[in-house]
Amino acid sequence: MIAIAQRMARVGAVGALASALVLSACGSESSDEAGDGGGLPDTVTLKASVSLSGLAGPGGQPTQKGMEVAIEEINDSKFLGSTTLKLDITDSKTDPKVGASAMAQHAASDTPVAIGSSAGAVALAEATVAQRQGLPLIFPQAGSKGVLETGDHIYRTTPLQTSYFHKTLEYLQTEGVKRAAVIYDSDNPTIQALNDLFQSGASKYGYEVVSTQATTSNTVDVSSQVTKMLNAKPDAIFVDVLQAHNVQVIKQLRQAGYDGLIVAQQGAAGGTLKPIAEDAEGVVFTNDFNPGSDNEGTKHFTELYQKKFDELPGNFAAEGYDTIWFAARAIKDADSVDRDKVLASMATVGEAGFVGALGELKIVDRQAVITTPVLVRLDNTAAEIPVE
Amino acid sequence: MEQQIVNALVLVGIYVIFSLGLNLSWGTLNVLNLAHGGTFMFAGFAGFYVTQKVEIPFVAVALLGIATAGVLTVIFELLIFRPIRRRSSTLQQAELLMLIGSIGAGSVLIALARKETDDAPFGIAKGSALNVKNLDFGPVTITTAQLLIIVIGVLLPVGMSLLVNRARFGRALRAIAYDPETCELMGVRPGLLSLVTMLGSGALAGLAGVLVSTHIGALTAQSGDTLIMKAFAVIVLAGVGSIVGVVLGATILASAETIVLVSTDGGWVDAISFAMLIIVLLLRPQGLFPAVKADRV
Repeated sequence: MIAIAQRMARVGAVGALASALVLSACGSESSDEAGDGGGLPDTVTLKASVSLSGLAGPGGQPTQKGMEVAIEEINDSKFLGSTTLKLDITDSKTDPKVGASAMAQHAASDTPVAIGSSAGAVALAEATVAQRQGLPLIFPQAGSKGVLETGDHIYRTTPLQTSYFHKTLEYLQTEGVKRAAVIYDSDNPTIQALNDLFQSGASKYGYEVVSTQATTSNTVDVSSQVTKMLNAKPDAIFVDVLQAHNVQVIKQLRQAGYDGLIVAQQGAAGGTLKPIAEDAEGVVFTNDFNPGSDNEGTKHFTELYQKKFDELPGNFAAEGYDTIWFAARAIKDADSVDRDKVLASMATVGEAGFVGALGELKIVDRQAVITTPVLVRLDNTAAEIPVE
Repeated sequence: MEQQIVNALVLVGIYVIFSLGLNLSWGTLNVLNLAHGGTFMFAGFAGFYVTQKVEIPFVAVALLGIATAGVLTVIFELLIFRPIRRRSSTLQQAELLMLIGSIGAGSVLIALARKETDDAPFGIAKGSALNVKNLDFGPVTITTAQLLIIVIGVLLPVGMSLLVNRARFGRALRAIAYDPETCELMGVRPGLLSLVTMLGSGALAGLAGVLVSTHIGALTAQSGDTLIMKAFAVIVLAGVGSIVGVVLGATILASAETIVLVSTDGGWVDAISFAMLIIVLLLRPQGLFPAVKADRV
């Protein structure tokens, strides 16, 4: 009897030890050892779906560069202790189907938070997938209606263009513009929203909309629309089209003999108009970032970016940088890669705000807000010079 | 209104120059070459790439673009379309596989251009670009680039029509479209003719690429995508194989688009253009001006 009891005690001890080992293995966040951050593994991989090609490609490429600067800085400064932050990017090709598929894969991975694409239509598809799968998702850009409304897991670290577009309309008023025309890409929700603001701002800012022309982002020849606008004899033309399309529209405006004021939006930023720099000289728009700005966050980011890429950053790079830093701050605050904890921390970190490449950035109701948008004018090399 | 007529003529010219190339390969060799759009774009890209590194006259840029597009299309014929034709058991199978192959070929060109340009718009460097001037004729302003497009859009189909209908080469071309086996027995070399045809088809895409790039200032890697759909619509409207049909189809499409743009705010252009196409396909699927073919009975 005693021998049986002793045997049972030995088995019980071994069993308890085995159970403790199993339980401790299950309880750890990953198979790696936890880093100095307490609950963080040795490596955290952020999954991103970025439009590196397609119509939003000219914005996606610099966004990636900005993200890389942030990743490097976070790791070099040991912001997450001994935890290394990695970035794994999938090209969403400005295609909602590709973006949604990528986001489904990201949701199935162990990323604590994902980064989404900048183009509105793609973002809508990605947000739907992420919200359904309980994956916190942060968007740079993606200002279309419906993106944030998808659900409480969706954040945007870029201020909406509609929140600072009034500076462009104020400029029209300052310049004494009385007759204004607009050409816009009707197949993009963000661009439609800016056109709506332009239309509704007419009486407040003292101009009459004398011509409104719709086109689509893949239309190569806009001569007919240009002719109609010029027939209306505007003092200023608002070119409200998607990134690369700005080149063709502005070129054809100048070729048609229009040498008046052209105002644009952020689609014309980031060196997009370099191929037609001389024709684009004098184009004015409001941007959320300018490397010449004297706020500390902008200066710091600009220095790091120039060191890495030997060129000045644009707004897309700055937004990518801030997006990664927001994610890293949330992960650090949560001290965990658990998605629910990270999501809760995103709200805390956003509300507290931080200084990023865009200056002082706060996130209110999951939407970034800044206080320092910059009105810029392009010089004859398509560089953005702040308007005094 | 006069200015809009000029705009419409420019659009007709663009559609004619681009569509004639696609019509040539489709009507003669049964190759619906959807890489035609990528080839068009790549001609502009070749001009951009070279002029970034060295300044050359615009004529040289144009010849470079045309040659690049022509050679690319010949390569596609040798590596993709001809092997598919040889291995396919039926004409329908060959046509489908060549269509799929052409999509792949076009994607490669787009990927190459994207990689090199980071997807940013690209154009011929200033020192090599055509010095485009505005010409005023009363109420109408036309640029030298637009004038070039209109003139070439008129001369090209005339020249091609003479070549196809009067020249020995043209008769041989029409013959291989009808019966390549019999042609071979008659001493015609279909292999060589098909290479020359594809070279011509590609060259036309290249010509369109250089002219459009000059007219609008810059292309993107996706610029050929929209044009290929318009060319497809032109050829279906016209009837495959008909040069006159292409001119008339391009005129109908460009005129309809311009009328819609003038009458509305422009948002309905594509919808109405393709609605026309659907109506033609339903009521006259052979096209409005099909090429006449005879059958021996």
